[in-house]
Amino acid sequence: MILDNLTALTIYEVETLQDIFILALKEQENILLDMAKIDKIDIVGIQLLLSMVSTVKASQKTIKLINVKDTVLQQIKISNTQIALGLDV
Amino acid sequence: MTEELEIFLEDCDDQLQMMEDALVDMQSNGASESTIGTIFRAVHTIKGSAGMFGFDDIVTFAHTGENLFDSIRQGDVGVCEEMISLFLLCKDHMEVLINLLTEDKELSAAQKEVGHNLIQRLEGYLPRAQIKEENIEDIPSTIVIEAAKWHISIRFHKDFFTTGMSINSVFKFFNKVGKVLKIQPIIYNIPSIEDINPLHPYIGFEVCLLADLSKSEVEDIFEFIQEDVDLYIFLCDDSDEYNTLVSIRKEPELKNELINAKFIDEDTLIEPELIIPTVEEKEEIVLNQKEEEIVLNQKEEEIVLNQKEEEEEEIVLNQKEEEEEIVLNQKEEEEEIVLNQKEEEEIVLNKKEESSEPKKKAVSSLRVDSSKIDILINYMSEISITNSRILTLIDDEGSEIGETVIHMKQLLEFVSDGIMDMRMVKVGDSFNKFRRIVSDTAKKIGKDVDFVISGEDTELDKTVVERISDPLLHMLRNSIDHGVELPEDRVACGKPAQGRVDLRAYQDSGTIVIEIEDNGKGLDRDRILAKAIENGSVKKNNNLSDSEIYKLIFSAGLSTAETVSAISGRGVGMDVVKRNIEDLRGSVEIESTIGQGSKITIRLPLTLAVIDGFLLQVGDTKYIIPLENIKECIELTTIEQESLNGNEFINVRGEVLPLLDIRLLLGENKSITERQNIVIVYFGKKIVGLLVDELLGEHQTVIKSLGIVFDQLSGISGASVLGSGEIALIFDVARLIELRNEG
Repeated sequence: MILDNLTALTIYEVETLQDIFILALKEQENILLDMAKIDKIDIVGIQLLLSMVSTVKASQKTIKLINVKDTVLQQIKISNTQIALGLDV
Repeated sequence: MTEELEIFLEDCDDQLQMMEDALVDMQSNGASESTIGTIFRAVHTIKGSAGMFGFDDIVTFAHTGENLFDSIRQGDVGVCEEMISLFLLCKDHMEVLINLLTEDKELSAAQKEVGHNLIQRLEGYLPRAQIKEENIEDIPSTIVIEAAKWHISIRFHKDFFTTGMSINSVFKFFNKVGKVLKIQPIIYNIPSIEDINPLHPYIGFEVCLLADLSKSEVEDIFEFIQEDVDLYIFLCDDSDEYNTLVSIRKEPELKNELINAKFIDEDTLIEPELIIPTVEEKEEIVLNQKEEEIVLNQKEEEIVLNQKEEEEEEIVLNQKEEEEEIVLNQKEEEEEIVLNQKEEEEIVLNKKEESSEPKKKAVSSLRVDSSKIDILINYMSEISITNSRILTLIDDEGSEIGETVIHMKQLLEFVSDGIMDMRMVKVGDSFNKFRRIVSDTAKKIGKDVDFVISGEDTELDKTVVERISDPLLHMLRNSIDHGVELPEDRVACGKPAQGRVDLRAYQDSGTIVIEIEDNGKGLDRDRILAKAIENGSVKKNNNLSDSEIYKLIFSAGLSTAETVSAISGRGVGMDVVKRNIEDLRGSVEIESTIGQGSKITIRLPLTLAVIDGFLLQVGDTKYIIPLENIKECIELTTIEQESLNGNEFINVRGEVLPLLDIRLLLGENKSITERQNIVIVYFGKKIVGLLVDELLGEHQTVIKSLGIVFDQLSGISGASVLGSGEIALIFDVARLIELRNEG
């Protein structure tokens, strides 16, 4: 799953992304979230990712975030949420 | 711009001004514990607030300054004059950085270079060990001495995300003031992707911060988001507090989370099930805790030691009442106690840092946008007009309803006075800003000037203060540049080498007087006159008084300065100064003695918005004269009316006064009434008798602008709507007197 149309995952995108995630959850067993195009993230985006990760895990499916850019990773690390998001850092 | 950012910018403005005042004070009186403390706190506050918003450029810059002033406070570094000048430059640079934020602009390469150079110069004063330590560890934080480990539990209120504030900026800032030892995200409250409202915060954080900060200083980091977050802060080594935290949060998972994240051992925490309180108990715990802290603070810092017995009794009484209220309304009291606690902590902090200063009373204030007060004034005037209209319609002031309306009118006047009072500010803040400019100007041209301010507590309408600031600055610069002589010239004239410029303010018969006086060389009457004749603004055969000649310096293009400096001398500006003062319904006078100095006296109305006026009629029109300008009213008998017969002067008890016939001046029709009155008005030292028809009585009114169409209407400053719906024009007395004297 590539977040094609998005370059940021912030308060401005979370509502759109929630719909995309809900759809992906219905259609896919194992979700691979390609973050290659995401340059920016804030705590609102991180919270949505955390929600998605825990929902996927609870439904016995898998999710993996890949190609996370350094700038994004840096923000995730500040809030120390990288482990909860399953990022190998 | 968000509301938080606006508050931040306003706060920075205040802090920078305090910093500048303290630095200028240092220049004149040397460094004191108090001024050093003021500067340190200003820099520290700016750094803290900027960190909250993630403004790293400001944080980095302020940090170096803060370090230096911390070293000064500790006595490791002494203050010298160059250092004060350097700090003034740093203050200017911080202002630039903050202004860039307002304009949403990036720092230019040149500005970066300035900042870099200033940091290097600041570091030059720092003790070597401190610079070394910071470079090695690459932690731009204050050196942690006796650092405390603080646990900070953070939960967010529903609207936190939409405030636009970033919690990551807070976390980043933690690393600037100390070291974050642990951050544990609390994610168990986050709903599933189907159920989550992505704009509401469900996440929370448990943080362990090592920092040389007091609890209130840690709380201050959250200053700009304190209304949007739920914080619980305590020292990490207090295990009881962890139990309280678990109780308060009412999150069954929290205990394990704290244990798993190794905030605390399993054994230390009591089973949460055993201690989960009811909502009421929870509130009581917080309440008791806060109360205990207050008592502790009071004991430790002996805040109430000097209170009079009566006051103590009153406090006990209040406490009793409060206790009763606590039972009734615990939530409300909790907020109040938190507020009191904050105030007391602030007192404690001030006491520690300003031991030499007398204790200050905690002043509670509210920052209100001045435009909101203007709106309120406007509505007040409408209400007053409507009320007067009702009184006119009733037409029976003696009736019960008439008396009620009159009572209402009195109450409205109280409210109106109260609102007007909100607009009044002390001129001192504005005056103090000039200290540095005066000092810099004098230094630049090699003059030694003692700048003395008096009457700082005089209050004036905020708009007037703001609009008079530039004209005053211009006149002060002129006094220093053209008035005060160079030290060697002064000594040659037998004067002390140091010149003196006084800026004073005081109230005088309903007006504010601002004087700028120097003991310099004074104005050269002949030279001004010659120059005015040369540029054609005055005829050769004139009959001007000294005062009128001095006033010529306010004419456009007239400068008698032999050299044009960067400061003044082009003759541009003094005409603008006069116009600005007149726009404020003020006047300006000059007195001067050659070789001894000059005095410029500016008279301004207390407020621009409301006047207490006297209503009168001339022909078909009603006019209002500001009460503050009226000396007396004289009713003319028919014989007196006839004897006047076009005279331009009137004899009042032996004193001959110039007379101005308003009907003639403004082209009014002959009045239906046969009455005629003289209203003697004055402005400053000038007196004129105004010939009018009927006197109608006192009238308090809000001044409404006539708009640009009537901008050129001389002698009229505005209009007012009367209770009857009629319009009354308000006289500009200063201008009327000028018109009369101009003939």
